[in-house]
Amino acid sequence: MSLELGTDRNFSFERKPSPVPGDLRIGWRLPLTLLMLNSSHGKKASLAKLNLLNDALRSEKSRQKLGKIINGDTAMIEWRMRVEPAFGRNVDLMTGAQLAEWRVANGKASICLTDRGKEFAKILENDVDSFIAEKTFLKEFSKKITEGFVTQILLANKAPS
Amino acid sequence: MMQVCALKLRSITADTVYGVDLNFSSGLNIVQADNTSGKSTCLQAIIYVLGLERSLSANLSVPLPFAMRERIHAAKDDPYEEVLQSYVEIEISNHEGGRLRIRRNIVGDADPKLISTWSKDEADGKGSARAKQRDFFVHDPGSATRESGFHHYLANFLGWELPHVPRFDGAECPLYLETLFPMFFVEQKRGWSTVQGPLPTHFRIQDINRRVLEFVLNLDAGKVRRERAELNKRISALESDWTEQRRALERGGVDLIRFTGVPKTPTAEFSHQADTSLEVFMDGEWLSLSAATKELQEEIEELNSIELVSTEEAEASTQKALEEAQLQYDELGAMFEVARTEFRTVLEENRALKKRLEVLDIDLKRHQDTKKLMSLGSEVSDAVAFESCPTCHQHLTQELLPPSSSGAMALDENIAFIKSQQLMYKSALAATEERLGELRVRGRSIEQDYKEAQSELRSLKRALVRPASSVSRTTIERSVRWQARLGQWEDMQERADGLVDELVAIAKEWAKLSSRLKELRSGDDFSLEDKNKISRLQSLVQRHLKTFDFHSFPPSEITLARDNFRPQVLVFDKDSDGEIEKDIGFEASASDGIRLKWSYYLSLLELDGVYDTNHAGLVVFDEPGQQAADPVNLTSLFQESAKVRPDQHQILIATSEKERAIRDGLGDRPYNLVSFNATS
Repeated sequence: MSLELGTDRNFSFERKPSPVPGDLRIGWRLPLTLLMLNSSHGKKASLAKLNLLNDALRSEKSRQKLGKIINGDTAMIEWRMRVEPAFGRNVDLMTGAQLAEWRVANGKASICLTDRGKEFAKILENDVDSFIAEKTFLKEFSKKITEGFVTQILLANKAPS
Repeated sequence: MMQVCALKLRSITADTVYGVDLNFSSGLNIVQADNTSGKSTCLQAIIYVLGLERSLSANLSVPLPFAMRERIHAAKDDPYEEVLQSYVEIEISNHEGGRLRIRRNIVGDADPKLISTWSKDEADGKGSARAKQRDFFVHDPGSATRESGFHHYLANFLGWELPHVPRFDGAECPLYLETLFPMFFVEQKRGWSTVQGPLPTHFRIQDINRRVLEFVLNLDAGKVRRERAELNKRISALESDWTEQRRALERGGVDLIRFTGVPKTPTAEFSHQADTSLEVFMDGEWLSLSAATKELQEEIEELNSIELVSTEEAEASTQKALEEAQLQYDELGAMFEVARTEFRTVLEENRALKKRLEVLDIDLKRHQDTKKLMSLGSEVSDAVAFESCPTCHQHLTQELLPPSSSGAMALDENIAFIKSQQLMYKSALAATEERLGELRVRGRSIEQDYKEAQSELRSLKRALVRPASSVSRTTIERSVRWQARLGQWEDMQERADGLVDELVAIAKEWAKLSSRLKELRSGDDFSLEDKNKISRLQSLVQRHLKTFDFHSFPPSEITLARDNFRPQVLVFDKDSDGEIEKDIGFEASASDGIRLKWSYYLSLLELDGVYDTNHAGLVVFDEPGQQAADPVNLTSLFQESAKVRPDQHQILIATSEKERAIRDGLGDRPYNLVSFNATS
């Protein structure tokens, strides 16, 4: 078998873009993080709490699991704390866009919504058609996910807090 | 049609019975009295006695003054007396000449939610004036729908069949009477502020103006829309029935049988000719049931024709049959194993596909959430879904992915990509589902064969050890087994036939409804009659406007909006360099607003004489001149109102215009002047 190629032809290769999972879209994760912060006490949260919420909000299963832990139906040790690199990039972008800022109070760092962030969080909160499952979860449980609760989960996992 | 024949108000104190009795005739009635003498109270009492106070506001406060509720005095300077009991009584008649006396308490023993009625049914022919007394309630849930609800009764009395309309929360409710009456009854305080109504919004009915007007005008459009909704509901019910029956056919309903020719959803073709066939798995291949039955019957006959022989004679043949049976038994065992393995593989694939689809669904949901944000405006999307770094402004080609060599798909492209994957996986899933069903049937039929071979083997083995002279039973046993199978097949055929009949019935009904739905879809919802009605109403409004000296716009430029039938005007728009339709509300002067309201309400009434509408046949104007900024010419309103058809319609106008002016203005036109002194 021979493969003849005309010499007068030029080849060009074009890189095709690759699909991105929806949860790795800035346009999905960033608004979700705004919603997390917006439902937190004082519109601020520690990075640990955000990571916990980020982890929990990703699937129906994990949402149910955290719900059970909060309600005391499942032991805290059952929760596997994970840190997602993409979430770190997301937090960087969010602070870069001045939607949120780092604050240090009582020697603890936390991320806090800026006025701009609050404004957009409110718009997102009022839009009834998007993030339905996520908002429902936050509405039901955010009051119970306190920083103290996050620390307990971390301790149960024997992770350094 | 409804006419008010008489109205009676009573306010009873320890010493005196205060009250007023008014009698109305059909045609024009003018209630004339000075201000603060109680005209409005009388008209409000009509709303109250009919339990319609929620057409004015959401709360249930009594829309009547102190004199009816708490204390009253005979003259301005007299001391007040406490009201011990008070009530309103009204007598109304309908299109059939039926009369109804209605009484509702305000203060006193009886619950104000209770409404007592006395009906004089003249249709019974005997002319007996024996009134039938019934009590009803209002303002409890179900007042408009339940037998014992007053509004249900009143709607019946007026010959109205109240349509069900969608609410903002997605539920449905009847078009309450409270929403209709503001189109007949212009109340003094808020009634003059808009052309239609104002209609109560607290019932949370979608497009209430449109719904109410559609009903009042008795347009086919509303019926068409309701019919369409109803059709859609019934069609989807049929489709789910179909799916269920089809599943019954495939799975539990009929064992060991493969079914072909039943489409996934009902089709018109199926309703005409159900081209279905049953297949069974026999001797390693799929055969149509009829062919298989025939084959089996022949074999049974053949068996039956064999002469019975003794064990000894049959030894050689039995031995041979045993060998064959053993072979078949082994073969079937192997086949069964193969089928089982294949089934497991397909099942595994099926599960994987399902999981993959689940993930795709979630991914699509996320992309759609992101896309939804884009629709909230560029400000939001720029803030939360930016494409370049907010700090260094480099393009963020990777979204949140770690850096790699190829860029990320754009949002829309990605959504399309996910959808195409879904499509592919769904069809793959459907294929595996089908294959699984088939394998299940095949497995079961092999299993049955396997078991039969097993018992055949056993019976052959037993035959060899039987006493030499006894009759060989192998043949008989085999014949019996086969006959049992034949019986089983017949049962299946019967059951399948039954199911197919049901499916055909469903498909027929489905085809009928679908074609009706298709008919309804074409064109707009207005029927020819509807269009005639609307254009007639429009010309009536224009004519009245001219008579009433409406001058904000030339009356001929006033048209009716097609969505809610509100009057609008064509004005020249500089921006688009063309004529655009504008709501008149803010454009006309205050007195022209009043004139427009007169015209609109009188035209609606007049239209009722020409076409078949659901107008109550009654129009009530409370102080039609009072709200105007500059004095409007009430005489022309009186004159126009006097033209009403007295056989069908009634107009009640309460005014403080001087009696002389009314007499002079109306001349010898027919009308009924009611002057009164409220405290007698």
